[in-house]
Amino acid sequence: MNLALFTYFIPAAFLAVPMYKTMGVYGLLNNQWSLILAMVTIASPYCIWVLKQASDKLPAELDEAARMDGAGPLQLFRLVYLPLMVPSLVAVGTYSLLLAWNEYLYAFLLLSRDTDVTLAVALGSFLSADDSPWELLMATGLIYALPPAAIYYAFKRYMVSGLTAGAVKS
Amino acid sequence: MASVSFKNIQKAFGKVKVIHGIGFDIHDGEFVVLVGPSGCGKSTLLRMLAGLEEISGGEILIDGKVVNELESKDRDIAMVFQSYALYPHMTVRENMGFSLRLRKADKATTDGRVANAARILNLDALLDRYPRELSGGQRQRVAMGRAIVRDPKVFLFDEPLSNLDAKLRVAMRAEIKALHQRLKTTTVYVTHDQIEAMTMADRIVVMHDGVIEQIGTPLELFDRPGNLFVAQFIGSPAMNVFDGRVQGGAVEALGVRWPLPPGSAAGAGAGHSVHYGIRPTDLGLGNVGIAARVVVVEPTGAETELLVEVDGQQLVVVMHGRTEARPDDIVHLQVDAAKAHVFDAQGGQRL
Repeated sequence: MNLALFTYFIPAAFLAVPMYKTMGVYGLLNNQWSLILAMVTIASPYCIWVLKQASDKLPAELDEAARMDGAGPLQLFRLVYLPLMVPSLVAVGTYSLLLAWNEYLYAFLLLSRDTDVTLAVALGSFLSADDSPWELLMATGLIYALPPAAIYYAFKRYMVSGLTAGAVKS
Repeated sequence: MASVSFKNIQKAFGKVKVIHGIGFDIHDGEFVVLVGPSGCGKSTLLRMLAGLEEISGGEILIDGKVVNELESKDRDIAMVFQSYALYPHMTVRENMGFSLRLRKADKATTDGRVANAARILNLDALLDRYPRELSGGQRQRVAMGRAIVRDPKVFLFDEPLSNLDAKLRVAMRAEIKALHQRLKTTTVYVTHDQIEAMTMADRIVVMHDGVIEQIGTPLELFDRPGNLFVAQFIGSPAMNVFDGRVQGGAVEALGVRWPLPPGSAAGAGAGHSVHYGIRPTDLGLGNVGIAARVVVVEPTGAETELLVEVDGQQLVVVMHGRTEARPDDIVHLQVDAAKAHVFDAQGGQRL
């Protein structure tokens, strides 16, 4: 499972060209799906790792107790595991969302139509002008920073450990 | 309510056999305690009955029906875990009603049964709390409540009191016993604590290394242990045991003669090597008897425990009341011959 994290040893810039080529092969260039798939690829190893760690920490007795109580595999997952995994799910969700929100390199490479570009790329394009419109850049930058801050404050309360406190005697 | 039968049960984890052909019956409404040291296979046996562990060989029957292939949920049994295993994201009410919710019972039935169980266990005021807001004893009661609500054929308890402090353990012991007397549900209880076993059980199954050493009522096991293991395991403080040799209607050991119990088969074999056992409460102090040197005196109020030494062998004596004896005093031990035990030196079987 820790092998998944090895993928982060390879720098994103190194993978950019193969990724571009692959998307080209599948005819996804200039299609939003190309960026979505690329971001899923980049975020997955870390998310898998975090979720695995979290699920390993759930006490096995809960599983057994639920089976004795009459839960089938799906009920066990939905009624016992999923609710207890909420903090981790929120954590990886926030992580992935912010990763995608901040992504510049792949967004710049894979989407090039003016109507498709992400906010990060659009912001960057302000800078490429000879005479950068700083007041516009600052204003957009501020607006750009608001959603991540809002997301963080909205989900902060879920990102606490100790939700399983009281389940089993430790 | 139901009867349970184990028929030649075996269990192996890979190549390691941990249970070697166990068979016994539990009657309808009986409270049976499986007791033994760690690793004796008692918990594994319980988990096989619960359906949490596969059965490598033999058959388990509940109410005359083989359940080997049945899933836990179809066996109609409820289990209380050592670690409580409460669902942390559910309130006490939801925890207790969870099994009924899975069975799609209507709300009135669920509420009624949860309220009833809560009343029995004194949990009424805690129904809307979460497990993390409860003390150890309260969590244990919720775990029991979850089992009661189901109204199962058999209750299983896996060392439920091990995580509680000593005082609470005694209180919960009485509560579980009272609960059984009230509900009369067949109960299988696993513990390594022989006092728990003695105080709660209708019958005790003593296990050791994956086999049954003896089955009997608590007092049968105490008064007539079938072998040396049971003799030393049951009773606190443990029975005094030392090696000796049968000679002229008595056992010669520690340089003195110890009386044989009347009717003991050991008397026949003169020169036979034996283990001689006598419980601390069956040794008394008197003016005459076997001379012993006092090592430690431990007054506990109602009783006094003395550690004495005879010919280098330490023996424990428990006497009612108090004593003037001090360390290094010489006292005289009197043996209640009727309560002595003699075991074969080789197999450890009772003679």
